[in-house]
Amino acid sequence: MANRDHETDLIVIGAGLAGLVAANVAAEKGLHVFLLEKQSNTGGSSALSGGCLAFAGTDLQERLSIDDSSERLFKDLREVGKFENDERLVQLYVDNQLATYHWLKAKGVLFGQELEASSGQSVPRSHNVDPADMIRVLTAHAEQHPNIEIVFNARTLRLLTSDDGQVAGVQYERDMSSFFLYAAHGVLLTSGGFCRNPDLVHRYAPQYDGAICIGGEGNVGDGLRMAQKLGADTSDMAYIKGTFGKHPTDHTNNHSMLAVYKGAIAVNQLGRRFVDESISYKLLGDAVIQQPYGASFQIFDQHIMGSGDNQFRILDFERRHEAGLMYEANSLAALAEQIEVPADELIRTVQQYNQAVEDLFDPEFGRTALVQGLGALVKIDQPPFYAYPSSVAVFGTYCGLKVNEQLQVVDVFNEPIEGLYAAGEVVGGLHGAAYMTGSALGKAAIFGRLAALQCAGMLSQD
Amino acid sequence: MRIAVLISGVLDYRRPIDKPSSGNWLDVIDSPSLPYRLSPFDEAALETALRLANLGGNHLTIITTDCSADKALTCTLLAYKPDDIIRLSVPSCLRGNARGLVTLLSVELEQQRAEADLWLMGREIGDLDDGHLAPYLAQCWGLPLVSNALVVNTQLTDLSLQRLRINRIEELTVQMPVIISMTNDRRNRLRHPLMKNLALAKRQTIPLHRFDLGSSGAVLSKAQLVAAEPVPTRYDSLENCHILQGEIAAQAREFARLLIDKTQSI
Repeated sequence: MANRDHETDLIVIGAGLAGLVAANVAAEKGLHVFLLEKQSNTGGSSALSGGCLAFAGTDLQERLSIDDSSERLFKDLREVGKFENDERLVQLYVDNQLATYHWLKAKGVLFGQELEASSGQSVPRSHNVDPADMIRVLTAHAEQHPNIEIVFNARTLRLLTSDDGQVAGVQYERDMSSFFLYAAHGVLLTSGGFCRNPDLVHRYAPQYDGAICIGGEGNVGDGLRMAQKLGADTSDMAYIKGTFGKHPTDHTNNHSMLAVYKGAIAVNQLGRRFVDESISYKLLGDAVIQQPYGASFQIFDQHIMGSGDNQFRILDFERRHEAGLMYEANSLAALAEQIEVPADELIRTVQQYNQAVEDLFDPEFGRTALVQGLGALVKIDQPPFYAYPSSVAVFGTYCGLKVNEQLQVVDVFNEPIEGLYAAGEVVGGLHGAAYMTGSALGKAAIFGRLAALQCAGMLSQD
Repeated sequence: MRIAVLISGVLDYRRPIDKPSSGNWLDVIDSPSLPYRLSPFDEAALETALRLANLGGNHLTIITTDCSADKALTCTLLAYKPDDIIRLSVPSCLRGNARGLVTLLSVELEQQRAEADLWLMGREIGDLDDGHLAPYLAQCWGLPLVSNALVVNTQLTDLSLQRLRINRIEELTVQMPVIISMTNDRRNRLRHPLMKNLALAKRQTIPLHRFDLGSSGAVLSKAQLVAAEPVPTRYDSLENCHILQGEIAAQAREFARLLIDKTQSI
């Protein structure tokens, strides 16, 4: 084993969105940065994401006459997290989201010109990007910046500490050799979550053993474990959630489809509803995983099919239909036969739901709106009828290291581990019990930028 | 109608390949953990078989060859709820050896051969087949062959089908029993299995039937295959090329005469 020492100002571990933003910001502030990426390319889970970032009070919202604000965003984040989230982190997100939005735009990240209300949002605030394109833009900036050195295929093994316990560097492995790398301004963990580590998922969320795990290949929780070795505390571990709406047996499209947010109902293999379909798709995931076979069907009609929107992956019904992922029939009985649910049960379920829509009262599950209190319910009565098989996918773990407002990782006594910072999916505490669409990518960008500013000693000056 | 569909599978590049227990990567071809997926032609054949089987009163048997040891793929096939599934463990030395494989299939599938009305398979079957298996099988079993079919429908006691020809689609009616090799088409895109049936399939166990190589003199051993030299080609220089001349009909006549002459000389 070769031992070769290097020194730099800041070590960033993981080149997803958080790591790329952090490296670029730190370099802009004059720090020399080593960005260590375990994989052979950048992007991680961010590149695989739906590309939604939750921002409030933007020029885009203003143009679309959407009345949003930091205060409203704060209220929504707290409510969707069922007040289990760390209020200080929510405030940190809210206070810095607009500046991060402008920073991304200045870097050349392109945002779509339409906004749609999504899970956990009281007004439309999902700002859409092509995630792969955003990663390419930020990677190009990092590669061109003289202060940034990206090291691919570099697997970080351990955090190195000085005699006084401060994190001073890392040991990493590349090309069968081991290196020691030291940083004067600390180590920033942007290493993602652990959805690709079945043992860890089982440890914290055994109910998701049968779920499909989709995320960056490197998301195995190594950052979490390295920090835990130094006594790091964790947050939100009890709230790992799968996302509802993933086709259970298709491997070509990993994104969820949420016809329920346009009026579809979700039924299980028995042909029965089991949940208020308007709630967060994370909570829907919790409900579906408990159904027989951990699966369900989104049932809808031609009217709802026509309300899809191919600008948004989760609402792009037509493409799923063209890809042969849906069942279609001119009657509910014929549809039931195709999906092997009892026909009389499915017909009764839809009749009861349509009656509930007419009565403006859903006695079984209390559904009052399409999504999160918004949108009037519609009957399912215009053939042809459709069924979209829907199970649960764990796209990210949304929980992890406990940090303070300076993005310092704190230990089990709530004291900062000097020299160790975290941003992105590896951080717990922001989401709480559930998740607002766009807040994971938003967290990556916002906290990545803030952590870099902190490491540069400029957080309070920004 | 009794339908038999032959499924070979192709290597699944998306799943990792385990190092053989011997530690020698050269042994990977015999590894029981090699990951497989269905080829587009397998999918076309399977979807056609499922659609015909679902018409009611029909019996579907799935026969797997190269991919037979892959438990995940077997589970997926079971989730389509065939009446039978037969897993034939094909020796690696038979991959790409259509003639040898047909010899073994004739022995192992004697009962199915006698009973099945319709044999379906992909137009290429497996990673190494270049379309030879179906004609070899048809020749060996004395059955008519329709190749490159796009869609197959029942028509009273016959089958009506469309098949792909150069620059056109041909419609024809055939009697059963028949062997049909399928090519992929939008109309035979494979449906997805239901999650329920996948879960139930995981509880089933289907035995893996292994060939007895020693019983067949027609099969080369793996060692022989490794040592085999390339077969010299008969027409390996331009001097042996013959350019057809004249009108299309005249070219066809001349080509037919050439084929007859060459066949008689072999």
